[in-house]
Amino acid sequence: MADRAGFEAFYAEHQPRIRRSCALVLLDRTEAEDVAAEAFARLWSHWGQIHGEDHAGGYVFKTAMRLCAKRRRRAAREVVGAVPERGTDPASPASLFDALRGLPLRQRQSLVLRDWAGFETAEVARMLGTKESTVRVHISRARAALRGTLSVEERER
Amino acid sequence: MRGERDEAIGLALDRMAKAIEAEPVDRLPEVLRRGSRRRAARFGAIVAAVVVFAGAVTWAGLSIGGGIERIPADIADWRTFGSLDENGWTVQVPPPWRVQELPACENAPERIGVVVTNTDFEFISPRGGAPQCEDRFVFAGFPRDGVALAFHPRGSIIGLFEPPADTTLPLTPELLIRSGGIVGGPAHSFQSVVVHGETVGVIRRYVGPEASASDVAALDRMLASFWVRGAPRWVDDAVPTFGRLSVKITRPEGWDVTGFEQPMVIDAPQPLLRLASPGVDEGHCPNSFLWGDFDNLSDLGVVIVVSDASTAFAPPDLGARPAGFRPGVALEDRTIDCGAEIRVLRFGFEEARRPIFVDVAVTSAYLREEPGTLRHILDSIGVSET
Repeated sequence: MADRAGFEAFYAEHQPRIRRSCALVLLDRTEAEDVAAEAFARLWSHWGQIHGEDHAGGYVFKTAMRLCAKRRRRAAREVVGAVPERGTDPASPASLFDALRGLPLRQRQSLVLRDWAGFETAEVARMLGTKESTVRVHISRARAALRGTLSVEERER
Repeated sequence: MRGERDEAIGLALDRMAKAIEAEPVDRLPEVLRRGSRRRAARFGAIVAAVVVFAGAVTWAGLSIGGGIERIPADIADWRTFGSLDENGWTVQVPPPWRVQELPACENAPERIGVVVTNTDFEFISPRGGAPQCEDRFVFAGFPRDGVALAFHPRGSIIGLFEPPADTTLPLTPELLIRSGGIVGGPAHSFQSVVVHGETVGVIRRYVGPEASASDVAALDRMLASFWVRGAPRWVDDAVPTFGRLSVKITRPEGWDVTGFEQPMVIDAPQPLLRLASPGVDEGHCPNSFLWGDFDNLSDLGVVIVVSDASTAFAPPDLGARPAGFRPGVALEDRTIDCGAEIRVLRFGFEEARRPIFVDVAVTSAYLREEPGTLRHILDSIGVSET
């Protein structure tokens, strides 16, 4: 039997981050939980063959992003989970939600992995299976789209 | 600023994540159960199956263009080999041909491979001994009239580029990518096989310079019988469109087909049909050729638009349909940057008594990895009056 205690510790530490990144990409709480669970199930099925926490973290992030992409492609349109009430504040979660929802999947994934999860561009490119230059373009476009919804005060805070 | 993390956006995303999230449910027991089941399924199903198939199930989807054909009498006694893993494959083999198993790779221990030949040739690795995983073969001594079909298994490797799209089956020789061949040995062509976004292996076809036509025909039947669980199939469509026209097209299962029946723009070519690979969304990457602007074309794939150019302000005078749609016969051919390098091609020809444009936007990655698929789709396009 693989190292179950090690896996459980890894799960406890990393699952919230994976779940939240999926929620930001899919914009659906239930789907995000499902994807995170499936990504960790796949990690557990390979646990004995994956050495080192960094490698496991990369594996589970990459798997989660691939599963998000599959879900997104299957869905005719996105179904919203817990959508905040639309507010008038341009920096409110509802405005951000709309702005995020307006981004193509790859831009959203690139932005979430870079600006929220804090991965380097090269790591994002590896996870998404694309070139660094492409990731930079995605991030640049996504930031430009999102900045319009962030108020000046919000950005200066 | 370039390349640095944007803290303000990071904080905004953090608030967003918390707003979306409710009280999380503990799913660890479910994760462990599902993971253990996956592990058991993988290791329990390492099977090199030698089965005498009734043949019907496998043969049903073999002919490109769809339709269920009768099982040809001469393959009814073919054996079926396979790997019964999650993305398991099968191939049908003529009874007297030699079958040699290729061991699984470390990163996909559940998936074996195979090499089948009409000769008594034993394939060995350049390092000596039986080929392992993705080992190349030594072809010294391979008979000049020999043919072979190999499936090299592969597993997903973290960090590799994503494949452009799932591979549509069945395969034909025309769908494979030709390599430079093997010096003094057989001609070689190959194709990565991608299912559910995972490269499950590479299929390779070898034909000796003096191979008989009947052996090559059997080889290609074997190639067409190669099947992977969950792979998309080829589908035939005949789509009624504007002006009492019909467009027929053969395309991979799961691609989006849109027929246009209403006039779209005065004095411009009238779009008749649009075909898009999965995952292509309309967005804001402008392309004056194509009907619609596309954003994440860079992710996956291909958009093809067939239009009637007789409605243009100055209808073009086009020649006969090309024998094959290759970049060399395109009316226009340019490259645009749409988050990735995208090749845009326009073909034109006379059909159904009017000029027809076929516009293609395709990523360089797709052209590199799946050139046969695109050619096959383009060659299948036909416009007729209903």
